[in-house]
Amino acid sequence: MLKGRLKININVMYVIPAALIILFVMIYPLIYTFVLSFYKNDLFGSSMEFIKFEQYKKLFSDPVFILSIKNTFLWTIGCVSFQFLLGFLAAGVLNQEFIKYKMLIRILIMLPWVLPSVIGVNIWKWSYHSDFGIINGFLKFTGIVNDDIQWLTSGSTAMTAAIIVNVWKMFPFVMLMMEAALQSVPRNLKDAAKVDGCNDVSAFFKVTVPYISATSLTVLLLLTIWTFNAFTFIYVLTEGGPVHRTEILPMFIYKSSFRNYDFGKASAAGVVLFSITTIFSIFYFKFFFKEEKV
Amino acid sequence: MDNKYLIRESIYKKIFSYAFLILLILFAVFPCVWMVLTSIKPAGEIFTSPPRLLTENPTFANYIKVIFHSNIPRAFLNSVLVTVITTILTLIVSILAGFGLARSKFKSLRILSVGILFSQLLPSIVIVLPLYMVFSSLGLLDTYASLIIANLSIVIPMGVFMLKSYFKNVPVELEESAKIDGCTGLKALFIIVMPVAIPGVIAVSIYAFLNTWQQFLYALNFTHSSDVKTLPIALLEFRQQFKVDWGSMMSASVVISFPVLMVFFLCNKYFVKGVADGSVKG
Repeated sequence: MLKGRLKININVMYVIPAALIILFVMIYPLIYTFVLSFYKNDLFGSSMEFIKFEQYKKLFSDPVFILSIKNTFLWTIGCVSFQFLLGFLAAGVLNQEFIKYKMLIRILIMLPWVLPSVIGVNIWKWSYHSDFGIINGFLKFTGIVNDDIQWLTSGSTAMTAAIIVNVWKMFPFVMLMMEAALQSVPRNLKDAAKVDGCNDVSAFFKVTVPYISATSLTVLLLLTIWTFNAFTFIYVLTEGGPVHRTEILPMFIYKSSFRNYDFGKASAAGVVLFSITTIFSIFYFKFFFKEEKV
Repeated sequence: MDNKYLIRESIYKKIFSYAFLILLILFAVFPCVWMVLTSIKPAGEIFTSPPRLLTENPTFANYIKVIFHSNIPRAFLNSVLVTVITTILTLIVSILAGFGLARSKFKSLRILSVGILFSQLLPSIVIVLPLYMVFSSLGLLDTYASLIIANLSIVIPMGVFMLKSYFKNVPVELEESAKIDGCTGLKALFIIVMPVAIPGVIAVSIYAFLNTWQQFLYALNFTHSSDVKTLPIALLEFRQQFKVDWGSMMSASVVISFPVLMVFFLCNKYFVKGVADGSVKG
């Protein structure tokens, strides 16, 4: 009995360093943000005036903030749906038996995911260059367009351009995960479905989907959370421009705090971002732990 | 349904599949190729319209500029230091925590593990401002310490989870038989359990390395002097107010990517498995 309790205590002690670091670097700053969002913003001054929900009222009447929320949803939906679609298609095609050199193909396709984000995004920025970029060069060479497209400086294309970069970066991750999931589908089940007269499409929905739905949901949730919080892409490509057209929430928070030094506003926006992320995270956990129990 | 029809269908299927994969590979790899091609172009050829794919006079001038006349070498050193220290600390902390969590049947540790996992999903941008203030009041701004501490918060949660799943696969009997031989606690962990979990340790090291090496947001805000700046931030120095030195930027990018790609090609197996285990299976 005593020995059992001692063992538990030792296990707890092993976890303490990790718990302390997370407490100091994540939990404490979070609480700090939360508190700040209820105070007037002159932090380095002496007065800390409690202003209740003023900061939030100000925030929600700021048209740039409202726009940034809209942009964030547009950005997230655009990125996640194409990341998943492309990654899933890639996994499905690659998982066919007759494909040769699978390992080589996999390694090549994974390059964007492995390359450091800043570098990947900078290459795209260079490729999007309206006068000397390879993308306009290619489009004009093939006769698809005649005039240079102002990819990153025109309001109508900037968001699309940014989404393409994020899709390029993350679809390999989806491919990797979905390929593993597809491999878990028993071969003989698929064959049995065919013998029973199912065509490819109905066999897919009846046999494959139940096996991959859990992984799909996890991957979708992870992608959503990551995309929602992504900063590097927009910062390097457009810094939120032109005229806030690509300003997503993380960019808005960054500008409010480190450009305009409006810490109260930044914190309130941070709380909003945190709350949205938390909602998605809860779904993720429900799933994560259900899986683990099995 | 005659045989001919089936064969023809399967040939179409093959053609479409390979065509799709080739397009996908082009989409994935071309930007990397373009980076290399731009980096060896002479300055005059980079800004030509329409852009030329290949240059007739490849040059290392951009590389010489990056290696001898920029902050990149110093930033490389900074990045190596920050990455190595972060990785070592991550390993120590997550080996202990992963082991503790894997071996404990305690309910409250389950809650703790949710907390650890949750912190992996937290938006860094929300943490940056308060951390900035904490570091500023501790006098830690613009030091390696600020970067290392902040980086730990990103890699430790994942590290704990990846190792936890590895330790769970190590049979408890192994430890119990060690205990009979008088080998207990930490000693048992490092002598008996660790060797079995080596693939997990490698996976976590790679994960920590890759994430720290490319960490951008914290580095951008916590450091500004060239003595501390890491590579992702030093890279932006090639952006001036009105023009960007794309040639140098691309060659610096090649230099920065090199260690990452080496690790990826050499340890591909561990890398892929580690990430997959950590984020889906727990």
